[in-house]
Amino acid sequence: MTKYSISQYAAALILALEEKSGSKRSETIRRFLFIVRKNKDWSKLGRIVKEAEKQSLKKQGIKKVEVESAAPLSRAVKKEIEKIIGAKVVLEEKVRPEVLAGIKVLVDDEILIDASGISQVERMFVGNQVG
Amino acid sequence: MKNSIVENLKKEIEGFKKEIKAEKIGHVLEVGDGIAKISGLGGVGSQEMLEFSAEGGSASGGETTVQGIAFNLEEDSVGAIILGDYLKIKEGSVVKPTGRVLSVRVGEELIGRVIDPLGNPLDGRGPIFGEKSKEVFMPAERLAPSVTVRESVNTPLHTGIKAIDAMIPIGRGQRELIIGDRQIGKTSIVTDTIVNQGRDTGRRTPICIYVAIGQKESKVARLVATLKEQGAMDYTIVVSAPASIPASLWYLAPYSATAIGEYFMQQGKDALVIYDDLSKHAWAYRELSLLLRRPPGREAYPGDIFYLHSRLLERAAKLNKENGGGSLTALPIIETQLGDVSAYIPTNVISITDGQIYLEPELFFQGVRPALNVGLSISRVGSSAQTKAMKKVAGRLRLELAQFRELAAFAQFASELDESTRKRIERGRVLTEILKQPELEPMPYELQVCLIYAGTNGFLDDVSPAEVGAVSDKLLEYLEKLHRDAILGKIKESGELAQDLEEKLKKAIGEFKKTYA
Repeated sequence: MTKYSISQYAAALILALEEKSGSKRSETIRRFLFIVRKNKDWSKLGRIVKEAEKQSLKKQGIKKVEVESAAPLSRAVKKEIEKIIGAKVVLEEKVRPEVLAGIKVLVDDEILIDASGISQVERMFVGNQVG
Repeated sequence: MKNSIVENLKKEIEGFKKEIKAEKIGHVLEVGDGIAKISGLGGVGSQEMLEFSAEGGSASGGETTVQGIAFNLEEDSVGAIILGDYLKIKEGSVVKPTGRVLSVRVGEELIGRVIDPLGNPLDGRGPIFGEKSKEVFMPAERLAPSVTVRESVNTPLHTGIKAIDAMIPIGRGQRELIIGDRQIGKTSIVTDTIVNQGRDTGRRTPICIYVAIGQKESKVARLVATLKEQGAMDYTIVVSAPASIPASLWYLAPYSATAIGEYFMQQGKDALVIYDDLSKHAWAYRELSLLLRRPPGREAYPGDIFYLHSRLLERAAKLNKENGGGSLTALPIIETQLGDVSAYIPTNVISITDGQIYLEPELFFQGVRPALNVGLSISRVGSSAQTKAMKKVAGRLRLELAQFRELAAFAQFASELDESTRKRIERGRVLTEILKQPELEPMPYELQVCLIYAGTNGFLDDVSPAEVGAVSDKLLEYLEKLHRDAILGKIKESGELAQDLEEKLKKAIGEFKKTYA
């Protein structure tokens, strides 16, 4: 029984789903799940799906962007982010008041631009122990 | 007082530079047992330091960072070891690369302190380095000095233990393994060695670094207290990786300590590093490798267990004058199970070091302490690391003890043997008694020379073995009181036992015997 890596499963899934629609799509997915189960790799399924999403977005030239901010972002800010990133963007927003101010931008799960207020504050006081 | 705090804060806030940059990060896929599997981190290098953002820390519900090292670089994930409490790290936590390898901050301020493998103080005496201290970092992993910068070992490192200084001499820059079962006196030998460095005033005192790997905290505390009592903490650093901390820190401890030793070696000073013990170090590496799914080999150790110790011990060296003339001596300790020196790790380390000191349980229970097996113990540097005086008197010591060992079986029939055999057995018994030594009583080498001279030249042959100990103590006391400058001082100064000095010594021993007898 050959061992397939997660990225191989994901690539195979994406290729198989290319140019299929409707019932053929669900049939292909069903067959894929069957094969994963047969190879006893069911526990990897979560990661395979994540990887497939990543690869598919990459293929289409779209970047996945997650933004954390203290309050909901305005349209203008969102447009600005899209412009800066350059490529087409799938934007996911998270409102976390702990961020205090500014935003944290995570691109493609790999590149982090941390302009949040909380990390600045922490960096300021990490070396300074008062009292 | 409030105002000054506020002033300080103001200064901090004003002086603070905002830094916003884009950095490549990874996410934790799995974490547990001291290791973590990370996705992302595409550009990270092997052995690169990583920062895990963990929960806990400041009251704002913010995060602390835990450090780690990237060990396994796989196709779609990175396996890392966590240098700290892994319980705070969650699945999905962000991991940032730092772009540098592990290094330890070093300086003179470390002397007298007890630190952990990452350089944090453990003795409760506050931060080690002040604000004005120079920032010097030494990398934990470093290439050993090459052949061209070294020279051969030529200066003795006196342990203060008669049996070792006479027959298994250790030189500065050598690696000498201390191997034996548990509870046999391995740590006692190194404790005596550390204490003796402060007393061996004829040469510059080496900085001693004691690495406690996987030891009980009570043992380390007791050792530090003993060293403090004996005044040895003035030139000693203790790097402690006790049994309660994660295996990743056990793995790092010897490398951090060697980095500290190399700092002093580079300055032209002498340093002594004691690894207590490397068996536990090998266990820690095995634990990490098995958790990281590296294939197990013999005794479940990973394939590169030899390299683990060889790269560590090769860093001990004696540098030539052009490179400062400093030295780093290594005394690794290995614990065997039931005296099995042919097990995997002991044979590995024996082949790396320049000799071994082999302690036997049989001798220990017979009352011969230190329980040194003179036959199996060897120092490959040998007499080039001995003073001329010691070389002269100790040359015959080894031979006579070897002959005694051969005849030891016949010792029970002592009355039925011929004269010369009986004499050899008597001499052997006397010499064995002379070499016994209690703990924490290191003897300066000039006294050792006199005592061994008395033993090998037959001056103690007429004393019964049971009384040799007391008689030799009295002899040394006599020499110290009445002939300190004339004989002892001269030996210490010149390092030689010249003809006239030898005559004086002979006469002094004769006089002593008259008064004693």
